[in-house]
Amino acid sequence: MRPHEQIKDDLSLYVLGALPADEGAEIATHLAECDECRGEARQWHEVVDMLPLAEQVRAPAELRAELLRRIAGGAAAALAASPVVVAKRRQQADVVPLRRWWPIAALAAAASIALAFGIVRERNLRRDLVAERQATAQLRAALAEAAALAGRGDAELKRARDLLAQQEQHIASLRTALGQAEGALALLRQPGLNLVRLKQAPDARPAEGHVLITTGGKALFYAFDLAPLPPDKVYELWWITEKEGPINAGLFRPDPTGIGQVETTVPTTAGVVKAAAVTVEPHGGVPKPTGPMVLLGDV
Amino acid sequence: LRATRAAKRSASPEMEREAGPAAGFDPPDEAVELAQRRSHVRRALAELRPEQRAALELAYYQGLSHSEIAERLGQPLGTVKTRIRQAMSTMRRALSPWVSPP
Repeated sequence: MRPHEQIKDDLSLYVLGALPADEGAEIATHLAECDECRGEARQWHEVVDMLPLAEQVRAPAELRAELLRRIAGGAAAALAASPVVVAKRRQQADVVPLRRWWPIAALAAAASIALAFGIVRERNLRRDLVAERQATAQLRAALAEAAALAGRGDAELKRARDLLAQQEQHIASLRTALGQAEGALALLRQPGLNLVRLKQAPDARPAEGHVLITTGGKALFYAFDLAPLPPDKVYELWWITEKEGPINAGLFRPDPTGIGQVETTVPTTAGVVKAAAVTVEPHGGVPKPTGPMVLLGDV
Repeated sequence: LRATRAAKRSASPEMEREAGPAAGFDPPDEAVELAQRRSHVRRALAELRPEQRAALELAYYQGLSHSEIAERLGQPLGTVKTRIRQAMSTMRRALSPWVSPP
């Protein structure tokens, strides 16, 4: 852990989301126990939150289109497309709340376990965070224009303001999710970590898995898009070893979203581990694979 | 009158914003406040050194990490970090009236 002063120096970068995950995780840990840095970080957040006011960068067309998709209702669409139209249309305006952006919650909840996809998630979250910031910048700009034209206490203005508040909440959730993803990613970036990608076996339905193997011989298997199983079946993870062939590495059933996970260790007494595989087996598992293979990857 | 103003706005939004609320129009305080803040932010950004602004914009608007920015700009990592830090400090000073005290 770096000393307090160094952490404090990096807080502005942290709040911008410009730090790599391991440094971000270190700062998050420090923030949890340092009042001074927490206060400082809050001030940096306030500065960052004002940046969209400058509108130096125009959101690209597809981003505006995405915003329009996210906001249902004519007035809200107009709000994003043209601030002026909003004021003109405010009599019949009807702003519908932003569609709940469900992946945030899902990602945040999964962040602590989904180490294998940390990198992808971090990238996606970063991208979403940027998109939300830009959407907020547009909303804010539209709101300012509307405020200049409309009278105070105007009902639509209030709704637009609510919309903006919601948008800011989205960003706050994204920040939280990003922070969690970064924490998970820090674990991923331990030196000597080995990532094995498992692809669908021929004839199996599309699925994808990863095994993360640490130098200490611990392994985390994680797969998604797995087909649901009948109650009497289970997925079995195998190490394919040089001396003993397939060795059971654990049993799992996918969750309702098709995600399966096994924490296990790499066998040390069976010679070189050549591959990892997943098969469908009877409930309770079997000592040697019997069922169809759904995933396979070379270690 | 509103239609005329609207037409002007859509014709030259930048000018309209820079000029602030039109004369003879009594805008809500909140709008004035926002307009002030907006011009502060814009001015502060404009006063950043170009290389600082570039680094800040890549971090903020494109969500790049400092190593990605370093790669994009062909600059050492330390230089990029310093520029972002300086840019953020300048922005914070310029916007201090709107930053709540510790």
